[in-house]
Amino acid sequence: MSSPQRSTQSSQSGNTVVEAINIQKTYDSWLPFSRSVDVLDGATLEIGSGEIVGIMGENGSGKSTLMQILAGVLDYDDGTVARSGRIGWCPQEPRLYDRLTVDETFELFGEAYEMSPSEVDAARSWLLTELDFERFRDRQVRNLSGGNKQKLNLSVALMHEPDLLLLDEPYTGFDWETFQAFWNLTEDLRDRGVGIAIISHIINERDRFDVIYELHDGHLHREVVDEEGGPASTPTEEKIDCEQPDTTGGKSE
Amino acid sequence: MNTRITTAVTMGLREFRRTPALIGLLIALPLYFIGGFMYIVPEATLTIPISGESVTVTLSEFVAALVTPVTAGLLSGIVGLFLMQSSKAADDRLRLAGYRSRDLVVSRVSLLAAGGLIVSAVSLAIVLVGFSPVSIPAFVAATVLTALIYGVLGVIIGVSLSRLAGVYVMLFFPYVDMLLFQNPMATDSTAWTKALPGYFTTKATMDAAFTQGLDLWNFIGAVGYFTVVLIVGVVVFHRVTAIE
Amino acid sequence: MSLLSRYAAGIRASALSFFREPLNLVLLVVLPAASIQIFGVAYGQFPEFGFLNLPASLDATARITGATFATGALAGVLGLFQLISARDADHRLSICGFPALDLLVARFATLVVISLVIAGVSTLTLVGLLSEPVASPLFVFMGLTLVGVIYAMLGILVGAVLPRALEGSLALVILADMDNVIASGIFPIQDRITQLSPTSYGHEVVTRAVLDGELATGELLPALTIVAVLGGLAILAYTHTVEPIVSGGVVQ
Repeated sequence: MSSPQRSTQSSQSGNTVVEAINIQKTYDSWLPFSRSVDVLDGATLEIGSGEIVGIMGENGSGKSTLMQILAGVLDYDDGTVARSGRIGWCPQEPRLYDRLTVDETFELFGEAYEMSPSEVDAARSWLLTELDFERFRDRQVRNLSGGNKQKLNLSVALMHEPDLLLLDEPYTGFDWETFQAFWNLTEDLRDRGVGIAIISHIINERDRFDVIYELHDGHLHREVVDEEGGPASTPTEEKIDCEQPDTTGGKSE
Repeated sequence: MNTRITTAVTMGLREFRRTPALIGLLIALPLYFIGGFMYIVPEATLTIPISGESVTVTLSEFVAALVTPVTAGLLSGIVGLFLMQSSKAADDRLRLAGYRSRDLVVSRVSLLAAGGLIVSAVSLAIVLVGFSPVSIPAFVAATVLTALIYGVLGVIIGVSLSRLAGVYVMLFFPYVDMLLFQNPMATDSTAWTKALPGYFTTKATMDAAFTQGLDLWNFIGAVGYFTVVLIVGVVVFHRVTAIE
Repeated sequence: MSLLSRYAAGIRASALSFFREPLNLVLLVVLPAASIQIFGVAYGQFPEFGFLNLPASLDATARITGATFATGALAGVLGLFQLISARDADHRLSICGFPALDLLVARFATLVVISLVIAGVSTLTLVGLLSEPVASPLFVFMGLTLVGVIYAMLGILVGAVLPRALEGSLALVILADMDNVIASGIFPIQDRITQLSPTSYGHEVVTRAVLDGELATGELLPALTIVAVLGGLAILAYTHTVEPIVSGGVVQ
């Protein structure tokens, strides 16, 4: 169903890699006696380059739905999404081909990203070493452990050095060393100017984020994080009150 | 063919090669279905009307000619049904990574064609052991066309219906279409049965099996039918893998 | 937990997961009715079955074949998918102490309930669509339930042996279509081969019930033997894949 009230465009801002305004999403069913589920109700979010943004919320609050809308794989009912640059998406479920090996998966997705064979080789060497799963490169995806499958999932999102990285619980199944390596990698990417959104449940990680969005009742609540991991003392300029979404503008541009 | 398509087809074929149970079934099931039918019918002859003439054939030859396209249609239809359903999530990701819909469509259709050719080749290898059609090339072409038409229909059904309904329809549809509605013995058939997918291919198969003349219109009709379902399939595929 | 309450819990869980999907309920009604009608139309295109010796009229044979096909195929596909989709959960339940055999019995019992529903819909459709009166709808219902139960067990067996939906569906489609063609009477088939066709027994029960209202008791024993043989094979295949090394914290 086409919606004249929603639009998607390339971001014009130099610093903003993705901006979502007033996103509405309801899961409907064509069957009678089935319930509709309102997931997002005016969700608004902005991610700048070189910024690590955490998206938090209780189970079933719609975090993965929001992430899929930001990535562009899920349609939404209303609002605006503007992106710039290349996107790397690491979904919660790996979404890979079960009977391809790790090497073949790099090869296939490298082709999708229009990388040359030498670029694919370089990216593969970098990520296999960085995430420490070099010895599994000949193994089929279905035969990988949960943690190694997740490393490959993350690698596919990173291999083309995207400008915007969307990670949906990326470290599920990681051991401690890989978890540390993941954060080192993330901080390195931030220094290179990559905008990163991470869905996370780990409260102790709050200080790793620049901004945290709490998703509750379909709305996003923005909170700038200070050095100690708590809310910044004066967030007034950057705080967006999504409880009172702008109903006049931003729907269609 | 660009490198994206060749890479996707190569990877698809590698995945297929790594499913030994599927390969085994694609060999064993035609053997069971076609070989079984040729074996279980009694030794008898019957006279059937084909292209306006009455042809007397053995019952074994008749069922061999009739069930070969049914087998190809059933198996490639089921393969088509699951081709989309099983790879939908990964295909979405590949699209987001940069594969154009056109590249993905061409690679998936190529894989489907490969599946149809394999199913047809096995079915033909089995039937040709015990039965010699009058025109083997035409018989082969008609069987392959049946596999292709039902393969694409399987894809369309796979993305339009639930898995349960899809398998039921593919279990039911080729059977009633080719064994009943297009059966040469069904001489009282009504006009709308000509719109069914097996109409041209079954006529072409029967012609090739039992008559000297080759009616090209059956093949033109079958190719036209395939083109139409392919266009519908491509549109459906494009819609379900659409990203922004 | 007693054996009965364990069965009840297993049946409840699998029945709820099936009936909570509204589309499943729609399919249970639509598919048998459509199949019976389509078979009636298809057989109507044959001016004569000169080389066949059909016990009933062409229309009755067609619709009985449609009813047995729909009931069997639907129960078989449901059995297959129920087993495939619940495999991991069953394995986990088994680890928690739920014996694999009890789980299989629960799955089968649920499919018997579903087969009763499909057979009921098929019977009502058959009675409504047949041009001649049905002598015993009750025995028709029993015959169709028999076909449903046989195919439910066949679906479970195929699902236990071939755990991927693609391979399982391929095998079930070929087995079901071959069986139905043999039972349908569309081709003359050697008698000794017909005896190997599971559907032919149910087909005969339904035909006799339609024509003269008798219960073809002679068909029941071989049909139940088929269920038992399929069940034995299914138990072997299912327990082999689902039974854990450790169950309920106790090493087996």
